[in-house]
Amino acid sequence: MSETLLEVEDLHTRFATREGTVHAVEGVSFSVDRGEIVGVVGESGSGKSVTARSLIRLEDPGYIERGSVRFDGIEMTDADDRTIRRVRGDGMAMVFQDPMETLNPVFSIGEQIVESIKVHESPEKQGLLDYLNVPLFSSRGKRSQMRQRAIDLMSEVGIPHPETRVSAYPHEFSGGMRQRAMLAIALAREPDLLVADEPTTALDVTIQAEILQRIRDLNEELDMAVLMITHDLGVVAELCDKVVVMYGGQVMEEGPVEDVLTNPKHPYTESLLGCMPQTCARGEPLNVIEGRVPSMVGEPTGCPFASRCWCSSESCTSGELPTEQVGDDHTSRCHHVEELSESMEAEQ
Amino acid sequence: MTKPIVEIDDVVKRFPVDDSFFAKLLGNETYVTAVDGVSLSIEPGETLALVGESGSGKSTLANMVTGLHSPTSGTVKFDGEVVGEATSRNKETLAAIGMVFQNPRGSLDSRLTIKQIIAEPLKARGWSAAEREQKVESLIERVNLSQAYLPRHPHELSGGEAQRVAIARAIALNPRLIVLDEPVSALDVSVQAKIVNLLMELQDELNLTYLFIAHDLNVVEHIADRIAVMYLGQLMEIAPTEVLFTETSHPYTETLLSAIPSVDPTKQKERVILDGDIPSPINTPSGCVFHTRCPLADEHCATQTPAAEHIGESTSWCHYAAEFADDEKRIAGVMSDD
Repeated sequence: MSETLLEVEDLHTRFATREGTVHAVEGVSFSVDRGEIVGVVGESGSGKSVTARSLIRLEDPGYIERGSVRFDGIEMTDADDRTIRRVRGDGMAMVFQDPMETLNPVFSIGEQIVESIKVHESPEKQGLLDYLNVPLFSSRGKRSQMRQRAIDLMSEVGIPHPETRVSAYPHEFSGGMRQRAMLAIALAREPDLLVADEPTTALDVTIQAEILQRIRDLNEELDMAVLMITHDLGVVAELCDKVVVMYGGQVMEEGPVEDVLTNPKHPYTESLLGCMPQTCARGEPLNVIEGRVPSMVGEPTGCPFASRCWCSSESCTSGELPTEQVGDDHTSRCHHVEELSESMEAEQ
Repeated sequence: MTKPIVEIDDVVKRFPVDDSFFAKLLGNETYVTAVDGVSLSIEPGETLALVGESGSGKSTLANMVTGLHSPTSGTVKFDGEVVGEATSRNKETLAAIGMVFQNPRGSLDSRLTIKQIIAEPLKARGWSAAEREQKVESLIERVNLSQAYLPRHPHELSGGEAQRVAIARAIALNPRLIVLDEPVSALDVSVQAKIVNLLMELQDELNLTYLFIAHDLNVVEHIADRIAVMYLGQLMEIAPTEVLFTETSHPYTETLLSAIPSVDPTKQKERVILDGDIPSPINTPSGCVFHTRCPLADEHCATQTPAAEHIGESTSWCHYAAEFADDEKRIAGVMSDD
């Protein structure tokens, strides 16, 4: 029954800067099925967030050079503003990393959730009168109904005392609570796909565990697909069905979470896993990846990871990356997949 | 037995929320109790980690060690002598304690060059220009950055580089204790690994003592010798790292440990998820501060403040510490019964 909901093909997003063109996303392809949780991981500057923003067409000031984003049969890259607005209204919802900067400080949480409900109900028309609450033009019953729906949503995402909290302002909320309010706003639209851009990075582990649990429950109850952008492999292992590993604006490896994390077929995934403190003995120096993320200004040549990779060779520095099938639905884009698996076998 | 380098004795820190004249007149001043009666000591050469959620008073406690805050009551001793606020400390004490902050960019003055930033503590101690030059060059190389960075400004550095500069500044005056306030929380895993390695190297070479604040228990497990767990300004448990991770004797530690996401997807563990947020520190709960969220709490916990209990090598502030340590599975059992 796995029906493809979102399909990204050969997406190129660029930024024109004074130093030259930044190739932030360079030929990314992946797909999300209905009800599936897909993780996108990589270091800062690997193009994860720009990919996510391109999906809902918030890539400005960048631009999509070429490629396609198909969401539920709608081609997003050349859709008009009205269609895009529609999709944002009830198709894709996004939760951003910093809830303080994305919530409006001058409206109460309840009003912001109600606005989201209004957008969902009539994505085409947003009458000014709907917002002014003039007695003659807006019915009191409908307003209290929407308020009740906002309260229901708030309790659904786990905000305690929603009846009193509904009229609170963002500054009265703690970080975890704000992130839950963001989630409520996103859920008010009953989205088919939730795009979550590092929703738990700024939060404590205990709150993070709670929010992840909440996302998982919602995924199961509402059959909502989730695209989870994160740099924490732990979060991916915890939550996702499928993972896309990104580096230098390109997909390095893609596959089912169990496969990729226990049996990585790309040197970058392997190095990233090696950096986690859990994988090292106590008191021993941690494994590191030498060098730093490439600047991505100018046309990239060859594998973006070549300069930091322990098994890179001459063939890595130029030409297209091959896409190697290394298992069921598991692909790795590396010239040295075979050598890598041989050396890993030798280690064991 | 060696003499502890830092001794914190029953320290309380309260911040006024409303202490206006009228509030005083009416007798309803309100205070946030950030740190509430904490006692602990740090041995020379060890790494003591402070962990806990946001708002548990970790940073306030650290700031009292560095002298950025003075305690409302209780004493902080450094090398056996009571030290107060930074302005009242002598130059030797100030030089002996270094500090690295969480946000590497925010803690570096954006108008100064890297060279000026690292030289600032040296200048304060009256080093000559030539001495400073030499020392700054050796420091920048010690933190594995090239001298090409010296004329740059903080905005030209990445997060990891900025944190290295902050570390160079902290070790400039050969301190004996460094207080690290979430030094790696804002960094990517690969950069985080490099900074953690650098900190461990420096500790070996310069014989440093660390007070390491973190909320990431994975890093803490790697670097710390002992761990102190804080909740709402009070200590919940202090134990050597291995003991804390294997034989937890406090339910709060258990919930913290179970919240860490594991990288191995095949090892999904029983999870203990707490309801709600940390209570307000203005009106802290009676009895054990954790009882409002603790899955094991009963009436006794709500009224009686637990005393320190010693179980093996760990010290735990829980009424049921002994029973809890005996039967690790208990909390998971209670959760699944619901």
